[in-house]
Amino acid sequence: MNAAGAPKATVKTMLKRLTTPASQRASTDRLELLRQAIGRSETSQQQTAELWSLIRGFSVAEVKTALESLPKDIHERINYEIASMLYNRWAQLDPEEAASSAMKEENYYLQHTIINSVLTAWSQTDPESAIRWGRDCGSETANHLIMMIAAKQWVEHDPTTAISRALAEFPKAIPSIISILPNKLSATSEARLKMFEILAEHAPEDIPWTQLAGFAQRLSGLSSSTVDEIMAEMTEANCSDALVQKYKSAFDYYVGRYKQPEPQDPAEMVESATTDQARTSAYQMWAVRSPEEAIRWAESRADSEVISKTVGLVTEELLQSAWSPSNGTYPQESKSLLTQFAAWQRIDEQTASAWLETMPSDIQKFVTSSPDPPQ
Amino acid sequence: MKPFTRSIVSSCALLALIVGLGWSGRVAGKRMARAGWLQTAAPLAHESLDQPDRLVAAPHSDKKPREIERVILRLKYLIETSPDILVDWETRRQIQRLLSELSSSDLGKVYASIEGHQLGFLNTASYFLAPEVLAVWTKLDPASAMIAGFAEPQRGSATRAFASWAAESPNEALDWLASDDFPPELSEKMNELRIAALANLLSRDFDLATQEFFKVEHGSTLWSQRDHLIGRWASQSVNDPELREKLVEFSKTTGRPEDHAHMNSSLLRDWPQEDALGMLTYMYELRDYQESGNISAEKQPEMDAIAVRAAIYREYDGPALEWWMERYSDQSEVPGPLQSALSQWQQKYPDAVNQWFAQQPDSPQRDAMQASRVPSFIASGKMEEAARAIYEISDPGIRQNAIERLDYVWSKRDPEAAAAWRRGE
Repeated sequence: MNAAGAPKATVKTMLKRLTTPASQRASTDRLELLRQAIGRSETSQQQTAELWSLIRGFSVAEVKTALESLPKDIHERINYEIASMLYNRWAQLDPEEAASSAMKEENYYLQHTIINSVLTAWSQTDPESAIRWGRDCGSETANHLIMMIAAKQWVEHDPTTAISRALAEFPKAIPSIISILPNKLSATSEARLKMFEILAEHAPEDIPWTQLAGFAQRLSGLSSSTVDEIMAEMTEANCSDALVQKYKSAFDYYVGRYKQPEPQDPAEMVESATTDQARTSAYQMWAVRSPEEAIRWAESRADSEVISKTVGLVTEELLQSAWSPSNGTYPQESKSLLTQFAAWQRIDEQTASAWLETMPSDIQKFVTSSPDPPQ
Repeated sequence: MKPFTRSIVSSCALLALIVGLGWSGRVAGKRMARAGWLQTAAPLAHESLDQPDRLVAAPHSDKKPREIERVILRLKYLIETSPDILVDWETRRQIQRLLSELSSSDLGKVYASIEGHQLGFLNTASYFLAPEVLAVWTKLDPASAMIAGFAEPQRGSATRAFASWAAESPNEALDWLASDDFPPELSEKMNELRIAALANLLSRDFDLATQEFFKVEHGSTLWSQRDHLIGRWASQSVNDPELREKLVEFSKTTGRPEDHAHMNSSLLRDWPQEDALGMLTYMYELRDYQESGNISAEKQPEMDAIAVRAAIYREYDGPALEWWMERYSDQSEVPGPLQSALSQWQQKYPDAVNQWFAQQPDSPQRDAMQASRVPSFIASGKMEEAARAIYEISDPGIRQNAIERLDYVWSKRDPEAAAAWRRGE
């Protein structure tokens, strides 16, 4: 059974296995059994807990043995999860050796996962060394990952000094620090004022507004204040006009576009459209999404104009696409065409039939040979 | 040395050599056995995954509001201060322990305390903690947990929590779905939950998984469809020959040929490249099945087309299409799956497709296949190529249909070019 990929077998791993007493192999053997039992399935909560419960007791030697036998082609999700746990354990025991081994991984995605694991474990026992290594090791991945870890460490330690500390030790971490300040200082208006004072005093003037995205998103999520109120608070805290404007730009760009528009009644959208094109377009969207509902509305008004225009538009879309009467693509549009055309025929059979005769055979065949759509 | 003495010495030496070899063999044998070379470890497919760290929460009495508040604060603190909770396995363990000490009612309070969507993204507590809490809660009180989980669909946690429960206690979870305890207000979600439970069950309990498979209905979304489930099973079993064979046999006996067709599609797509011989052997068996007469005549062309589509995907196009043409060269319809396969093949290897068509003798099927390329040429704006494909069509009816389609679209996009084409320029 090798549903999670066969364990990697080399002369070295075989010799090692031959010379290791069974008692010392019990844990790694157990891990291999669990790995294969999970295979390509998603891990359950219990299985994840079991894997870590086993691996957290591994020695460095056991970690290395287990890593050596993980398949080289590590495409199964379970293998990523196990590699992450093994490196995490290794970093608890010997972070520098674990970090140096993680750097040698050639698979980019796996390297990202295991460096993250190493830095996560390392920063919990010796954050200063972990941050130094992540900053100076020359790996962009490590550098990027350590930014947020350093930011969390320093903000947790003292939010008032976090930015100035980063300015001295690791300026790249400043946007990450700013982005998580609201986690610490947004619960009350006093806390927010304090946060804006920190920004006014320490935030670099030249920080681009694009790097304030996380800050804007978190603050908007955590606080019930409007953007204008937040901007007023920032001005009150002596933030420069430039910083206030940058915050506004970040909010407008990153947060404003995620605002969920109020759901609108489709019938109202059609009725309130000011141009013919907007009206047909609103009806067409409705007719593709909920053809029966749209048709009930249109038929109750005997509105053959909106129906015929929609039939024309949907037909154009289908004919210009890779759709064919029998290839099953564009099911929503196909259904909409049948439903709308049937309604058009009920209201004005002569015009509808005349239109159909002008269409290519693909459309004629589809409309006439499909089963009757629901009325 | 006298011959007699020499004979005694050489006999002793030979004896010593034999004893030495015997001893070395015994030691080597012991080591090999100990290393598991002679007998592989028993598979764990049906083995219980019992470990000291079982997380099934025992019933706990409700905590006082202040205690719950402390638990919530502690959970949030652990998550916020973790460098990255997704790979912070030790902190995750602590969180699990905290959750396993809560009653169902307390888990509900913790779940309700997790902030929802923030604008544009989920905060850490929402995307990590919500599914964790829901998974523990589901094991204690599935009805309340599922109602709460589905009330916030953007988190997508309900089906994951149910799948996690089903992975640990499949019978219990599936029985609950069919029981009176299942909340009527979630009746529309039953199929989705059953699929979530079955998705990971095949390798753990083949009989239960295949028995429950017949209860799966056809949902409206891709993820809630029976075809998707059996396809997923195929992907999971492709590297396990024993399981794979059982699944293939099962899919032939469900009474619905689509099950086998979709299983086969996924199986071929995921078949490991290094096992080319295994795949070839499987292809021969597949051909035998397609020709066995076990598929109803009405569905045969579409099922064959799905099989050919999978073979084309694995670049086994030549033999697959040869087989197809042997069976369907007199037909003037091309099933949808084969149309999509041709379109994808065309995008990937246009020269090979043109060459294949050039080598085909005239037949209604060849013409219909040529005509089926026209819409995809039109969709990608390749009007001249569409015109060339039409030129290759012999059947006047099929040819006329294709001309009408191209003429209609081309005339709207570029009337002059279309007119030139009509004039034969």
